[in-house]
Amino acid sequence: MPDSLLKSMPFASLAKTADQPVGCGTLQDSWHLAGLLRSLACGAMLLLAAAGCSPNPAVEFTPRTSTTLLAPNARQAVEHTLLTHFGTPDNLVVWDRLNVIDFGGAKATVESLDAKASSSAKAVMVVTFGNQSDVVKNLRVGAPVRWISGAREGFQGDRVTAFDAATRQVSIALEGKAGSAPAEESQEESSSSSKPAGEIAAGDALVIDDGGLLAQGRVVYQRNCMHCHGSTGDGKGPTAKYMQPPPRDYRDGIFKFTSTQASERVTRDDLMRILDDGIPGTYMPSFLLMDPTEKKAVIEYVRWLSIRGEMEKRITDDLGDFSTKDLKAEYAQGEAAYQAALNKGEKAEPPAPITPAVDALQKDFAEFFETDYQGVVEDTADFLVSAWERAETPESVITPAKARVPDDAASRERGRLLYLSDKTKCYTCHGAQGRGDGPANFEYWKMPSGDGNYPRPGLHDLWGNLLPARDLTRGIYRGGRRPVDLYRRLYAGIKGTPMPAFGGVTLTDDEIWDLVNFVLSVEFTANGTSLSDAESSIKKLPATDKAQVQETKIEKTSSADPATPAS
Amino acid sequence: MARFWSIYFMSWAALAVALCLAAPSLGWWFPDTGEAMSSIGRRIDGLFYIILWITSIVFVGTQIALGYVLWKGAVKPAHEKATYSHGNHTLEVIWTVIPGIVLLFIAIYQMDVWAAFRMRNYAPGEIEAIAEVTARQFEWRIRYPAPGKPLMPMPQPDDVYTVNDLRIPVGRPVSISLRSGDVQHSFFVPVLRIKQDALPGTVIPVWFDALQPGSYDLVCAELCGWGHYKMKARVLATSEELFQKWKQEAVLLQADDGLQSASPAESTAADQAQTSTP
Repeated sequence: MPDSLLKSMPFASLAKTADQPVGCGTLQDSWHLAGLLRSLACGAMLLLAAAGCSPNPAVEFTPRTSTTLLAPNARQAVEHTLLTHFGTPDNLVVWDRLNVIDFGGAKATVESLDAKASSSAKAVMVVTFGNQSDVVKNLRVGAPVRWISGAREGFQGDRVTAFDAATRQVSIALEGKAGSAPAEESQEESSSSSKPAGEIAAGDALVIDDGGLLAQGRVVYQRNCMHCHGSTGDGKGPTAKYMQPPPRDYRDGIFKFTSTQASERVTRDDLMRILDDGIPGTYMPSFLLMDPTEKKAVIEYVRWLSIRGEMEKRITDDLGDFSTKDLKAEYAQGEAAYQAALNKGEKAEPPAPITPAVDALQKDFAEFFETDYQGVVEDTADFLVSAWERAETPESVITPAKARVPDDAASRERGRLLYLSDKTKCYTCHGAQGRGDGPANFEYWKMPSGDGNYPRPGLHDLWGNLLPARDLTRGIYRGGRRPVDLYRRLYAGIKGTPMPAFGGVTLTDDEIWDLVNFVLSVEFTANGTSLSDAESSIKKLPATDKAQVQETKIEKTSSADPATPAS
Repeated sequence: MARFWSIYFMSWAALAVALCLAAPSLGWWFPDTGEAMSSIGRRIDGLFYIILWITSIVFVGTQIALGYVLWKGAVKPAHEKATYSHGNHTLEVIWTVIPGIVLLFIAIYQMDVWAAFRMRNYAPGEIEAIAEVTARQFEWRIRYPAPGKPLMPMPQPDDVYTVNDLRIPVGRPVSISLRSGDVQHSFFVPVLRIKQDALPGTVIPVWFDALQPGSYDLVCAELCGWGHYKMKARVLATSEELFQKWKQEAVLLQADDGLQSASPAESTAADQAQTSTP
């Protein structure tokens, strides 16, 4: 075999060594070896191709882009704040300040310590629980214990080893060590109370299975939600790229389909409704049959993630002065200009490095950190706690002041005229026929960040995704199809989208109901279904007990309009 | 030692038979009680058991014959010549005709059940179309007609909607209109023994009944995408009375205008009554 041919073959070197009479085999044998190696390599490549397109993403909380653009020490401060108050997905931190989150766990006070059974490694005591009876019932062995008062405060790692629900006797393994950050406080306290550090006394308050619900929520979230919504809740899980519309990014604290006023956060009930019903027209499926405790846990976890994300966003926005975004953009521009000039053969100066400017920012931030940073964190936390607290109050939920206007042809016609009026301008987005093809969908819109227009024409949501106006003829109502759902959409708009809030100012209750009646009819009129059926069906609604009660009430007041169907 | 291999090979057949006999008590059988909860399901089970019996008899018979040959042959002297039977016409005819008859029997025997399940004219009369079930990635969306109304092919203003929750009355045959919103799915209720593929662009009627009230798992039996495993729903069979009551409640819930009124029309009347009486 000529050398040139050998060289052109794969594994030529192998073949060549074998060709020389040094002994360990003939040429043919070595080609067997080469063939074997080749098939092995092919197999390995096939295996790799089959095994995975990309590695699993790490389960971790990732920072926002705006956080990464902060001056290095500012970024470090923000990340440290988040780490101490929220932890990582594998090591969640219960932050007492977030009292709007039900972290789970049972609060208890030491009633009496059994000195005989206790030792330096184990404490046996009788405790009095707060009112969380269901936690007490399901208290698991191995549940972590956190001391909130007394000498052991700040110790981390104590665990329940035995529990008797009847006598309320708890054995706790004292494996805990004094924690780093909170330990300073506890040491100060313990020195003032003149007790040796770590000794339990009656009256000490503790939380058993602290963060249990949150941890359960994390498990449920990682199993069912994370692959779309991402472990940070940023809507960038591994399956998200296959989805249109993209999964929700919770980190702004904004949820689209809520029952609350335009400025309020989402309620637990709203999230439960989304879990039960899913969001039609999107990839969000229904989790109706999920265990109710799991649903509760995952809702709590999502609220917590949302608070974590908004905390990061607000702090980072507050630290906008320390952002290197503009510096970097400027430098990139200068660099591009310099390169272009070089390419043309002109003389040019390279742009000045941004390091001095960043150093100046860092210096500024170091000063700011000493004086104001803690205040920013606390103000943000206070703001978020009050916002999420307010969302759960009845005042934040939109309840129509008036009952629905009867769904008849006259009401729908009034609704249609409102729809086409300049008062609501519904048609500019949803189109004159309700097909979601209004002119606004074909215009260029300004970005809220102030960086000029969006690159593509059409409406966008707060997250920067293209969002065509809803096609009302399809009969798919993402936020639910009950009249009250549509009322709320019209009253408070859809958060994070160009859908405005009409309630209170622009439209009266009756007008909103007329619009609701019209919108609900578009699906059928557009598809050629006669609506006389709808009217008659509502009149013929089955008389349930409730309805009968209503009827008798009406008879008593004896002033019911004879035209209304109840009489 | 000569017979060791015949015993060894036969022991596997014996183990297989023993495991099959023990399977129901080990939970390796149909879900729940093992009995189908629908009348068509019971007839399908009947077919299953007939075929199981036929195959069992054939399996045991052939294994015994095989064992006999091994047992006898093991001690034959080495110089004895084997009988060469390839091309034996009589044998070929026998083992072609017997399975042929068995297959023909099964083919004819099952026609009734097949027709009753799949053909309109042979299904029990008076089947009410109760709901339209639309499978989509990755859930079951269900549309019921308003109480006292027939199911229409197109959505009606007074339809009632649920997700992943198919309610049916117990004790009478009902049918669903099965559709798919995107890709191919399969409507599978194991306890009722009902399985039907949902094809995009086609409406497929599927009838069944539930003999006892209960909540039966409804799953997708056609790999339909990454969330296939999430398509778990339930078929909730209740008494006729409860079913009608639920539907009326669902109508009211769906007409909810946020004021917890019984119905929009009545509440408006009440509202007017209140405003007109100072």
